[in-house]
Amino acid sequence: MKNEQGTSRRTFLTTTAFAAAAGILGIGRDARASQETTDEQKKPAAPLIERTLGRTGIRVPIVGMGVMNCYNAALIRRAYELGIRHFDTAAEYARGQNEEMLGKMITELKARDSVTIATKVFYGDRRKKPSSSELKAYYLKSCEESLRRLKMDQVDILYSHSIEDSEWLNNPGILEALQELKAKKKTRFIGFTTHANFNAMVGEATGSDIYDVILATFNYSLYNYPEYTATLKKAADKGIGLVAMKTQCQQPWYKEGNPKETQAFYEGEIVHSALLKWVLGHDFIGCAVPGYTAFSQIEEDIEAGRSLEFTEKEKKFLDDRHVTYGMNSVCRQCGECVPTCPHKTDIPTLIRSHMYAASYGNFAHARRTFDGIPAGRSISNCTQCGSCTARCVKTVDIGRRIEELKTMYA
Amino acid sequence: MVLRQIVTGAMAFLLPSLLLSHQSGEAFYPSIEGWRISDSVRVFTAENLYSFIDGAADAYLMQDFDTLTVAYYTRGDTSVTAEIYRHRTEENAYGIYCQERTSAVEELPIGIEGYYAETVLNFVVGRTYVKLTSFTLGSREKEGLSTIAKAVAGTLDGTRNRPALFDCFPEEGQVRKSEKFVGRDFLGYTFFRRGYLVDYRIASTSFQIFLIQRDDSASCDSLLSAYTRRPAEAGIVNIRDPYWGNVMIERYGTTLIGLIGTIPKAAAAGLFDAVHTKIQHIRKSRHEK
Repeated sequence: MKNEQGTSRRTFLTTTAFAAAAGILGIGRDARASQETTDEQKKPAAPLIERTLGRTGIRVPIVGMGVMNCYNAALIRRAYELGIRHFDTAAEYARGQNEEMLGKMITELKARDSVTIATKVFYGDRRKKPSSSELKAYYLKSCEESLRRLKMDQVDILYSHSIEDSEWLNNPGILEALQELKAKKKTRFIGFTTHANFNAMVGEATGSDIYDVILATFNYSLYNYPEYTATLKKAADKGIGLVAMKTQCQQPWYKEGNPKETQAFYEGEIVHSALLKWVLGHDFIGCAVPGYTAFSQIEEDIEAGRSLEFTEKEKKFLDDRHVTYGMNSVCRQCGECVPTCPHKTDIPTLIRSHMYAASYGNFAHARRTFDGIPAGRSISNCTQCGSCTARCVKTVDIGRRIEELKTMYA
Repeated sequence: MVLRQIVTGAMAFLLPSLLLSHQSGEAFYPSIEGWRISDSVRVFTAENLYSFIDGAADAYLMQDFDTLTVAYYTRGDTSVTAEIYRHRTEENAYGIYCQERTSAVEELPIGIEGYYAETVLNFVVGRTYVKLTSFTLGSREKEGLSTIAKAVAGTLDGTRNRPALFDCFPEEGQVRKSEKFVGRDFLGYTFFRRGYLVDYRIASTSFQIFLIQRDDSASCDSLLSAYTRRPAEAGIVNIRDPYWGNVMIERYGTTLIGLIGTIPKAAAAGLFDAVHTKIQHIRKSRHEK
């Protein structure tokens, strides 16, 4: 008997059809699916440029894959087919399912011995201030869970995720855990990732021999930050492997830093290959791990792995006045101003709040941003100061912007 | 110019603050007997979400993330972190919820859907995705998290039903908890943008069904044509997709129906018919409302 949706008889048909001999293709006319790129060239492609990740000795093509945004295992397959051999995931991505998906595809491809797998341990809520022993236990457990999800006995690189200050960089519990996991061969090498205060973190890590690899923010918006470039080079010279992330600088926190009049940079066509080549043009970078959500993105980026010579289009994009002007006037949220403030005020967030109000006229966002600053680190510190002594390593006039914020709160 | 803008804006800056207290999320955190709530609510937007959840932020941004509010409930020496993610649409919120949901969880009837797993209780209501985490509740973890979840759910507006298009997928053979709503670059094609995908397994055959909905049939035909690289035609088209293998696809009204995989002819016909019937049923239900 048919139900309201008429499925019961069809259910029977479906099941019996499957029970019959398989191998009959579907119905309908044949067509060829779209490819977002042009048809494959018949001539063989140039080989991918390879580099070594510092003293690890791991040799990889310079274009890797950040798996974090990827829900679609077919993208991992395509990346592997095109020659990508470094895959970066983390325990926190999609609550572990990102690792599961990667592990499953690597197994399916029988590729474990030919790829580098990196994953991460992330202790999210640092306001809790866990003890060293708690952190050690957490890191040990997290790594085991990652290996289980990846269906691997060992990863190649295990990172301590999102390190922004010395306390976390040098936490004894974290270091003990990482070193123990390395000794037990749960990971071949250990490292950390850094998204903010990265110049200081890379610099400090270079002074010790603990970390083998650093996954560091590095992109074109930092073109005018020679101190950071020098720090990275020094780390590489010391034998630390460097993997670059956030190479496309398209995340909102880059866009939002620009004054309105330079937003055109982000509204027109973005030449992603230009941004990637700029990063990889620094030979102290072993590999970059851009994220991909579309096949066309992989197919575009992989070409940057064959030749780092800029095309005319790429050169024009990077030289465009909107790009350089925009990049230069941005508060890049590096946090280097904070130590120059006697109260350690959260200047980057105050500046961001100012930008919403003054540059965008988006006062709702400005207020929400402002409200997110923890008590004791906000503008109340500045009203006590009288005159601002904080300094920006670029050209942001912190004192002026703080005065303007005070006007809003007068 | 800038100063004038700022002075003018200061008025606008201050006036919305009362409204923003509600919009920023404080109202989402009700008082709960026996629990103390943190003095302030942390607010994150797309621009700084990464500072709270690091690289995981990108997955939320791809689901049109709007704001995150974070507060803490404490009881003695235990605490629960309550993260409330607001997204642009209900589909986006359900999409990110499904992305982070595994099959090995205990389902809970909270909001549209919820689940409990060790140290976490997550649920979704309307365009809001809520994540509760605690490492300190011990044996009373599920009870504590459930109490807070129900209280928070009570403050949230929005539908308690999952996105309607998921009801158009045939039930038979669905892999449990495999539903996905993808907000961008669906199936790895930028022109598809968003779509719905469910995994199936019948006998020993695995395949997937997808649905892409647009406002009108002309838009659907454009997508179909972009995908097949030929003018859109009526009926089911069989494709050899360079990334997915065998794909069958058809426009039905304002919906593209697709099947990824190799399955018997009769079975495919039955599945497409089943989807047609379900779509008609939903259209009829909406019309009657």
